[in-house]
Amino acid sequence: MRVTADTSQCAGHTLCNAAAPQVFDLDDEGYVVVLVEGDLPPELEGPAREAVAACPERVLSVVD
Amino acid sequence: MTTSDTAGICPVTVQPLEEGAPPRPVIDLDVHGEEFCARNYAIYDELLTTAPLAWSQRNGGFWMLTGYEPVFEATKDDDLFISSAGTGLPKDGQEALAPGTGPIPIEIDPPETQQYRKPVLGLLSPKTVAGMEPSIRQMADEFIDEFIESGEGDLVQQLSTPLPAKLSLRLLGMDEDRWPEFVAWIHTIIHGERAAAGEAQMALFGEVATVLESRAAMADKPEDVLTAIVTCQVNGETIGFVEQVRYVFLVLLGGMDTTSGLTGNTLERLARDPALRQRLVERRDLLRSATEEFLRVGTPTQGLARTLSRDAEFHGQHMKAGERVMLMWAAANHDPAEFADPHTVDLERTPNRHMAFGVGLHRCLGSNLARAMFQVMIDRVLDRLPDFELTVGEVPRFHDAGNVYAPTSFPVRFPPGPRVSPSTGPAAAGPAQ
Repeated sequence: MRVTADTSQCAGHTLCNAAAPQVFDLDDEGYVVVLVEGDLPPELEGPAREAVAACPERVLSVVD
Repeated sequence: MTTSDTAGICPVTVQPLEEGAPPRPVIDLDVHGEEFCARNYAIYDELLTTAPLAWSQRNGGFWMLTGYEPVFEATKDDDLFISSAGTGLPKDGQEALAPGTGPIPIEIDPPETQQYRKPVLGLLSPKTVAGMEPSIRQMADEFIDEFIESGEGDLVQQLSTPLPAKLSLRLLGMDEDRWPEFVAWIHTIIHGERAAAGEAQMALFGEVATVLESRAAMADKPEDVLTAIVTCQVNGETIGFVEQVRYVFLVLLGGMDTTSGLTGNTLERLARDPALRQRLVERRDLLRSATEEFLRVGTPTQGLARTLSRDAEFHGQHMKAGERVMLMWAAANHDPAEFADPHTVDLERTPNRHMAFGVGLHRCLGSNLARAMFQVMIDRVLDRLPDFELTVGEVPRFHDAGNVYAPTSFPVRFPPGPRVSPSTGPAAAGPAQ
């Protein structure tokens, strides 16, 4: 499983970072940076799914 | 020409506005009225069921959007729902504020919105705000010190109003000790009668102009929000002086009553729900997720307006160019289609895609700072006066919930506690016991 982000549509809610800081970091302006581009280690899959669901802009996705 | 009616506190009549026009659900709702302030959440609940998009003839005429999906889609569609024609609705019988005097970039459309926001983003980012946390904490403790020994105080007037005001002035490099004057101006501009509001706006803009001029003349400008505004470039040119004044106006408007409103609305919940308060006292680690839930249920900026840029069919309604639309985020935040048990306060609600800060390009520029100020104030209150008791039955609020849904006062008593910082002067000394 991996995650993708349409970073151009990020509005800086920061909720993904709160749910899965090891997967979604924030840049100096507070916008999302995907830390893990490839397959996620199993222990991060749960937090990553939660982070994707948390995004009010709906710009994060899970690719199974 | 009525085709269907609903009863209840906000009845809906489906009718065309004029002969031959498509019918629309029509309501009689004044978002600046006392009825709305007293029953806003009951009105939302009803409209979410009867008419998630409805037309009110009040406040100059506007579409009232309450459903989560329509509010979300409209907020995200900056091409159809524009901001430059104003983001507030006029009071009945009044014109909207003159164009060109409102706050920006909230009333700027893309692609310029992003250019206006760019220089300020980094100064209000999560990382920058994290660095400010100790000074916010110290400020909160100093304000609490002024009443902690007496066993009584007003948590809105003596904490949640002054703290964001003082910090906003600090961010702007302005004289933070003058916060009471700025609070008075902002309150008069937002809540006062039109003539008084105009005078207050002139006075405030005069102060801001002076500060902008002296900053512009400074050779080595400090790296802060005021410098970001003075040097802000849009389309390759520094923004004009009037735009700079309007930008500072936004920082002052956005920084003050909204954060105080969130804090006051939350304190009221904690006062009325001892189990909820006890949970937060014991589990301070929940404060981060709890903040999102309090934003959802106690949304201070209940909604902001847009204007249709063209005729469009939107969620089954025929909307016309020039019509205003109210994006009622506080209502959407209670839509059961998005939030299970929307009236239950769940400090660990997951997911919690509330729109208290809006969504999309115009999303609140100060959200990270707002969260930090809120969390610090709640944390300090729960540490230093966890047993506070509200001493009035009904919490006084600004009468106009269409502008900001916020208490004006929150009087409490509590077992007196010690100061944590030395007395700093006559203002903090208080009467001898």
